[in-house]
This record gives sequence, C-alpha cells and structure tokens, in this order.
Amino acid sequence: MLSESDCAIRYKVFGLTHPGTVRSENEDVIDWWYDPQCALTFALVADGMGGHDGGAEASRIAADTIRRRISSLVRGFTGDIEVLKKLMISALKDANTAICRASEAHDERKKMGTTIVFAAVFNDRLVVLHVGDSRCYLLHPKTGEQSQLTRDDSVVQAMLDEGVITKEDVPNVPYRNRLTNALGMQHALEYSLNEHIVDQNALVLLCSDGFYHVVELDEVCALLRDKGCTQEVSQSLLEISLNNHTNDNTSLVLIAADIDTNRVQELYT
Amino acid sequence: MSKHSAKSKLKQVVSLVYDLYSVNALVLIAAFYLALIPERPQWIHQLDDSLYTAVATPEQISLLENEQAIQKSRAYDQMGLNDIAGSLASVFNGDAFHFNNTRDELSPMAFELVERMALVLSVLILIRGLRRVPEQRSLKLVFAFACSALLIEVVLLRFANLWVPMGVVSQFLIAAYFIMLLQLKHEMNTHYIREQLHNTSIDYAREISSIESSEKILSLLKQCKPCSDTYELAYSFAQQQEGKRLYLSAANTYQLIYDHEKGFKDVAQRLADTRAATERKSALSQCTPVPLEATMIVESGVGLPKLGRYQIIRELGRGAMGVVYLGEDPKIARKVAVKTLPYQQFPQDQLQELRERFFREAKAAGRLSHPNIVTVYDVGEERDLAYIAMDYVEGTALDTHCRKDQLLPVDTVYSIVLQVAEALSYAHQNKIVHRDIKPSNLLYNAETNQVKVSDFGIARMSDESKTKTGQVMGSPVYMAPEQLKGAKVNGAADIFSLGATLYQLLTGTTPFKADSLPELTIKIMSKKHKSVRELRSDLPASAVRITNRALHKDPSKRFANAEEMASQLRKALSNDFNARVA
Repeated sequence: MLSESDCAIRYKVFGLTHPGTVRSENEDVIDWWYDPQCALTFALVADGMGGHDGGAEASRIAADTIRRRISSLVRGFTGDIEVLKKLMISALKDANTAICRASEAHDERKKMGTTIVFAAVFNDRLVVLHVGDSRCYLLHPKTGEQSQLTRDDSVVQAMLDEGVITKEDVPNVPYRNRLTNALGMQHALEYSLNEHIVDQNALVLLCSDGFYHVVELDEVCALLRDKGCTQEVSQSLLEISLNNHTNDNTSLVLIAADIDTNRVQELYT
Repeated sequence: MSKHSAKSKLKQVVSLVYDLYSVNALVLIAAFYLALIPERPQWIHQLDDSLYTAVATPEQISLLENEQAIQKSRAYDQMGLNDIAGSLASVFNGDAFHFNNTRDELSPMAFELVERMALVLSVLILIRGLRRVPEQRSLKLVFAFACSALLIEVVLLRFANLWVPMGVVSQFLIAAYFIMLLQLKHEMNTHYIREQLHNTSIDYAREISSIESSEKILSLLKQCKPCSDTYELAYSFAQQQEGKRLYLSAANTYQLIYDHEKGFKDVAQRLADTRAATERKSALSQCTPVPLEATMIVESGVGLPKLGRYQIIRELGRGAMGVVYLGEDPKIARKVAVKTLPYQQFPQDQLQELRERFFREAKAAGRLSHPNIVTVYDVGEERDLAYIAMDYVEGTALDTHCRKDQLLPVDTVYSIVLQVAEALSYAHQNKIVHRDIKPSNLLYNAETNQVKVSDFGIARMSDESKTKTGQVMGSPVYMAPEQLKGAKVNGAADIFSLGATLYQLLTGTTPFKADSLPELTIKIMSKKHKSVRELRSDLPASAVRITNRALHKDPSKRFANAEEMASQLRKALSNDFNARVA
C-alpha cells in the first residue's frame, strides 16, 4: 500500500478521437484511467490498421487487453518504477499475443495490427511504452519547449535517420505509410520504453499520425499556454486537425498535473 | 422436433386455407352442397312448382297434388304419427288411386342426377368464364341462360309431357352471378392496375437494363406479370449479367423465370450452371491468394464472361494489382490481354482519385505506338473494377531469366535492353514516363528476339495508396533514388530502373539487396552497388560502364536520355559482339 505522502501529484487527462475528414470509420482507440489505490494514471492511443475492419478490431483488442491486464497486475505496485515498467511490458505483450491470435483466427484479418503509445504517470515520473508511429510528446507550454519521446517505427523514420531524405521530403515518399513494427505483426514483440521526469508545468501529449501530420506543435503549445489544459482546449486541438483536413483518423490525449487539486491537497495537509 | 413440424404444418394448412378463401370458393361449396344433399328444402322448389301449376294439364296437376299429399304424410311421420294415420289422411283426401304417382313419372330417366351435375357445371363455367366476358354481356348471358332453361322447362311440360325442373339451377346461377360480380368488380380494378404496372415495368426495365444496377431490374421484373414477354426480357437480361460475370444476379434472374415456368428455353440448365459458378466464385474469393494454376474455368454451359466488349478466354496471370486475362475482341476477332484493377483493394475514400488517375494515365499510354511497346487498345470500367485491354504478346516476361542458372547470353541481354531503351526514348519524347521498368514488365519473344514494354503509366497504382498495412506491397528494388524520395520523376528514373534490370539480367542478382524495406531504400539512396564484373568476371567492360552510368544516384549524371543509353548499347553490341551482330 502507498502512504498518503507517496502520491503527491494528481493528474487530469483529456482525450478525443475522430474519424477525420476523409475516412468513415475510426480505427483509432484512446483510453485512460486512474488507479486510486496506487495513484497511477494510465493513458493510451492505439491506431489500428488492416482491411475488413481488422484495424478497428486490433486497436480495440490492444486497448481492452492492456486495461484488463493492468488492473489485475497493478495490485502489487508499491511505488517502484521498475515494477511499473515490468507490468506495463507484460500487459503490452499480452495485447500483442491477443491480436496475433485474433488475426490468425480470421483469414481476412491476417494483416491487422495496431500502433500503440501507452503512458503511465506516477508523481513526477512518466513511463512511455511505444510501438509503431503514434507519438508521445512532452511539452512545456510556458517555455515553448517540445520534445518527442518516441521514435516512429516507420520506413520514413529510418530514411530520415540515415539522412537519405529530409523532413521536407516526407509527405512525398512513396513508402511514407509503411511501418517497420506494429502490435500484432509478429509474436516476438519489439517495443521501446523510456522514462522521464515531468515537472508540474509540463504536459504529456499522446497522439496518432492523423493528428501530428497536420497540427503544428507550436500551435499546440501556444493554445495550452494561453488557455491551460482543459477539455475545451483538447476540443479546439481536435478541431484544428479537422480544419487542416487530416485524411486519417485523428486522436489525442493530454495529461497534465492537476495543479488546483494539488494546491487544495497541500492546504489541507 | 415433431411438435415443431406439426406446428409448421398447421401453419401451412392455415395459409393454404387463407389463400383459397374467396367468393368463388364459397359459391362452389354452396353448389356442391346443393348437388349432394338428398332432399333440398321445399322453398327452393317454389319457382318450379309455380310454373308447374301455371301450365300443367289437369292430369299433371293431380300428380302435383299427389306429391303434396305424400309430403304431408311424411310430415306426419316426422311428427310421430304412424303410417296408418298418414294413409288414412290420403284416403280421405280421395287420391288413393294415384297414391304412388308423382311428378317423377314425367321426368326422364336419371334426370335428377343430370340436374345436380348441371348445377355444379354451370357454376364452374361461371367461375372460369366470368372473367373473360365483359361485364354487361355476362349479365345478359346469365339471364338468357336462366330464362331459356325455365322456358324449356315449361315448353317440355306442356307439349311433351316431360317434367324437367330447372328452377333451382337458374335461381342459383343468378344468385351466384350477383355475388361473384361483387368480387369481380374489385378484381377488375386491380387487374387493370396490374396490367398498367406490367406495361410500365417491362418498358422501363427494357430501357434501363443496360445501365442500371441488377437489383433494380430484378425488382422491376418481379412487378411484371408472368408472361412470355417478361420471361424473354428476364432471360436476355440474365444472359447479359452472365456475360459480365455477375453470376449471382444472373442466377437470381433465371430463378425468377424458373419459378414460374420451368420449361422456358434452357432456363433450368442455365440456372444450375450459374449457381455453380456463383459457388465457385465465392470459393475462389475466400482462398486468396489463388495459385496461378487455379485459372478461371470457363465452362461451355455458362456464357463466356465479358469485360466490356471483350470476351474472357482464360487467366494469364496475376499482377500486383489484379488478374490479367486473355480476352478476345469479338468484333475483329483480335486476341487481347485484359488487365484488371479491382477496386476492392483500395480504400473507398481514395477510389475516385485513383480511378481518375488510372484512366488519365491509361489514355496517355494509349497514344504510344512503337514496335517495342505493348499497344493499349482500350480502357473501361465495370461495376467493381477498371480494365485495360492491350495487345496480347506471345512470349514470356523477363523475370524468368533473372536467376543465375537461367541467364540469357550477354549479347541477347544487350539487344533486349537496347530495344527497351529505344522504346523509352520514344515514350520520353512523348512526355510519358514508365515509372516501373523491371524484368516482369518486359515481355520477350525468344523466337523473334523482340521485347515489348508493358504497363506504361499504370504500373505504380497500388503503391500510392495510403493503406498502412505494414507489409511490403511493391518492392522498390528497381526504383530510382529520387523516386524513393518522392521527388517528381522524369525519364532519368526509367533509365535507373533499366540499369538495375540490365544489372540483374547480366548477373542474376539485383544491384541492391537488403532484408527490410527501410534498409533497402536506404541502400538504393546512399550506397554504391557492386560492379557487375565483381559478380561475373567474364563480362565486357561495356557492361560495367553502362550499368554504372545508368545506376548513378544523381539523375543528372546518368545517361542524358534513353537514346544515349541506346546508342551506347548499340556501340557495345557492334564492338564486343561484332561477329554475332548483323
């Protein structure tokens, strides 16, 4: 069990997803939840792919499995970040297996898979698990500082890393939509995991490619700086992506320290 | 289980009764009832009796009285009095002598039976015939029949001393007629409307049968009444559907005819054939990818499938986009290769743009006319696919000569690549870039030593689609670096691809090799390929020179144009293989 003093910071989460201006179906899934006993906040964005409804199915399986597994695994959590990482990885692997099984069971869904960016915050620690090309950003609206915490598993990213193309080439590269890794593609899962410190003014943004392809981060930061992290702001961000004619499903989840609640808590303790 | 079947049987019976229930049925039942009961009620004979008393001779009257006496005695019987009392009553009546003589004596033999049969028969005639006769005439006819029956009755009694009571039949006929008229009037209205619907439906269906969707035609045909006109139209429509390979809709149309007339032409056979074809088709679509051997079998029973005006003969192969068929243009009996682009592989939202591009590029390619370019004859579109009809080239694609153990002689390779370079030079002059030169797009006829380039413009359709499958659909093995970068390509990209093809035809291996797509693209864009002579030392120096120049990363450092590459090849052919080149 955690003692009162162990959970110093509360977080608030806002998330929205939309099919976008071109697609009729939404293959993105977003989810977040708070575990009051362990003072853990979880959030995820999954962007499914594969024909015959396979994409929507894969992202749904991923989100469901992870949430279910986490809620049963998290009971043993005592505040050790290493334990948290392990149980997050375990949940992710279970999700991968579940999608692989589902795609083997249906011929027409053979190619289904999903990206995932799965984050957990505990006090000032942020743990991000990532597969595919959905992204996690750490933003400091006040200073305008932005850092991308995940590296896309995509052909384009590999080409960028090698320096054979520049950022300006990205929208035209023929293989721009090819991923090199995704959940449900192979039984042996490769993933990236990293840990960061989040100060009270920082903000975590999880989003799918339908969002980050069309929305400038500067714009996001400016909006968050002016209006703070609220439901209305997340709504405006989604509207920006729609106004910029995103041709894919667009999703975002914002995680920010709930300063007001924290102040109230401080007053009473 | 048995309870369930009993229930369903009951349901069937109920629905049958419901179907049969009508005024006509009721009238028929009444007629049978009157024909079968041994004794009819007395009042029903009133008309006959009145006529009899009116025209009978005194002798005949006495017979009637006799009869009434007997009836009276029977009535007494029924009241429980004994026979004697009845007889006494008759004796007192003073008719004892004629006690057994009734009007029956005057009736011909078995008249009663005939009369009962006539009753049923007349009603049957009424039911069958009423519909066919105009209303006013039927009224006249029925009255004429009833009156003449009564007239005959009277005349026979008076002049032939024969008693043939037709009163019951006549009365019943008139009563039945009026009752049936009620329903008929109703039916006439419905019939009129149905006739109108049939006429409009059949005209409309005929008009739109070539353009509209099959569901609409089918529903129109269902509105038409079952007659030979309808069958004929449905039959020709079904044949048309069959030709378009829409077996399901064809089968449904045949079924429509078959349900009403099993013997119409060869509809039973065609129905069976198309049903079989539907099953085969669905089986085929379930087990993708289909091996090449599993070509579409065209059976004699089913009309040859058609794409546009091209009759499909068999499958030639499967490309990245769709199946390629051998077809025939029936108008000029020319063999064509029909390449299909099934729409289902593309997301709905990109289809429109993709279709436009396909047709635009296919039309552009259609303007090319060169001995080393496969001629495009026609493009078209069916419900679920676009197709392109082109010259059917005898020969094999060059990818069969890309393995180390199947390489062609170097001079042959040179002459092949020379022909392709000439074709490219012509196309580039016409401002058309192929964008996907690779061995499988080069069709080589070993007998004539001629090669033809196919798929101008249309080859790279599928790679542009924005599906995120994570799988490599088309490999970039032959793609130029600037193409991989997504830059606007020109003829130089084709030269690079032709260089990569030449490399592979000479060495049996592609210039860039990697295990993954990102690795491969990076190699193509930034790493130098091995010299061809490192892989095959017996190659002439010209091979190294030409491949290196064509495979230069910088487009401006490659051959300035395809013609320059062609002339280099020509020179090499005459210098290196002088003896064997004419």
